[in-house]
Amino acid sequence: MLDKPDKRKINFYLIIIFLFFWIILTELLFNGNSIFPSPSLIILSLQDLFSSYDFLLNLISSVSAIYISIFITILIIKIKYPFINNNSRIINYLMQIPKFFFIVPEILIGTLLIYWFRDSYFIKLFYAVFIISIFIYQTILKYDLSKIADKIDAVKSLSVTEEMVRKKITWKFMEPEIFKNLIDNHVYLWSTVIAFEFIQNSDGIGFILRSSLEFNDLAVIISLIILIAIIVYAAEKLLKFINDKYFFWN
Amino acid sequence: MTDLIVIKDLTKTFNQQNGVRKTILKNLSLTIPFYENGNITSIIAPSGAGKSTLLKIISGIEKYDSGNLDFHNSVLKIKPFIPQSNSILPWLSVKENITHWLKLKNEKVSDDKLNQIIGDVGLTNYENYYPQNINSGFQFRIAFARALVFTSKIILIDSAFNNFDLDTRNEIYTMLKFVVDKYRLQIILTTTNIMEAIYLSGKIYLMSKNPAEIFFELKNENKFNELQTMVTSESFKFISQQIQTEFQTHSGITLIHYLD
Repeated sequence: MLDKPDKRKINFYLIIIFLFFWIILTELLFNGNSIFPSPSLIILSLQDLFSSYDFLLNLISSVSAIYISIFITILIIKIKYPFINNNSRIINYLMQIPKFFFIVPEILIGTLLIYWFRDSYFIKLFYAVFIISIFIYQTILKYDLSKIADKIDAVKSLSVTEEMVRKKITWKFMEPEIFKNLIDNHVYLWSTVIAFEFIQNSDGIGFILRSSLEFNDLAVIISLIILIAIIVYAAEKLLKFINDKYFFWN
Repeated sequence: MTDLIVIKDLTKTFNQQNGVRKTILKNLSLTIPFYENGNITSIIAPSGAGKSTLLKIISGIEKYDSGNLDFHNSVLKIKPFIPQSNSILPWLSVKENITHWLKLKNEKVSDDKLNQIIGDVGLTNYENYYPQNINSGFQFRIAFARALVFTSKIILIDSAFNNFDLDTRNEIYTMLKFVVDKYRLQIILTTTNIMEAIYLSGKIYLMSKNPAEIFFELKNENKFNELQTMVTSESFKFISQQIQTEFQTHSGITLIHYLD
């Protein structure tokens, strides 16, 4: 087994080797090929990305749809969760509805939303909220309440109401799991929102991707992939930092 | 009412996963006397007999199917239950864990009283620690202090010392005895541990399994000050033997009086 510093060293050398071959092959041997653009071309395309493709505005559109919807969804469920009475038959039936979406690829629902609402930014936001709700709902369904049964009993014996128990204990114990599930599905969330934007063809990273594909602009596609990878990586680090800071007991 | 609790013909059934109803308690009757100066009453029963269910019913967490429960006039609606496993919240500090639920109910405890309780249960200087940084003995102390701030006269402890080593158990026993005397508490303790019951309790009940019924009770007037001297004493050996014999005769089981 390799320890962490060794792995880092190996990764570093692999990147150096990749860069070396990339430069040699694309700048010197196969300059102007249509399979993989050279580094100099990609650097030039970055300028294009910002000026012709309005990268910043489109990035804001995607980023806000993803992260605002995370915030909104957690907030809505956090407020609603304590009042969901598990003993109510009607609520139990209603809670079964989202299970239908576990088996339908979300992008199909997204396509339907685009058909109905076309260019709306808010429908993208709604779509992201819908996907995140499914993630959270799955976590809530999977959560093993028997792990905290004793804690709940102890608090119930202090005449604490059912709503308060759900708000102050059950939800609090689920929160780190929900957040962890969101981090695990973070890249998937990006992918599905980009796919939505790609079909919607109105704004966002998916829109740039579609336009660059239409213009056969391979250099822009590659530079977009690199930029998005960096942004997603940084966002994931930030989410992990928030997770460690706010759910320190987990 | 002069007794602490009078339970008559208590029956409790559960729905099992296969849909079949299982009877945990069937027509269980029990009268626990009220002790003016406080007391620990133990209920010894084998695992799975329904000890936790009984305590939860007394506490009001679980509903029962039929029967009657009456409490002494001094017993408040809140009857704190301390379960077998750790029941404190990891995101709150020791002090917050103790006062959290009281604050949520818009009730207050004075700083003096809080500090006194914290001192009495042995948590002084640990107020700002988080539960994950302290051992299970301290976690029990927090749960106990949380029960104490509710000024309830009765506290229900469900086999909470099973996972403690002997030193920790000894410290907790000493703390319990002190606090019961000081606050004149009525504690009902369920356990599988004969030694623990004899050391702590003035009154001991023996409960069988399938069906759960109280088949023997004894008054324990011995005051033991040290666990190590108790286990070598003749009176301990006598009571311990008596309990073993009763279990053997009634249920055909042998309980171990743990010393590990």
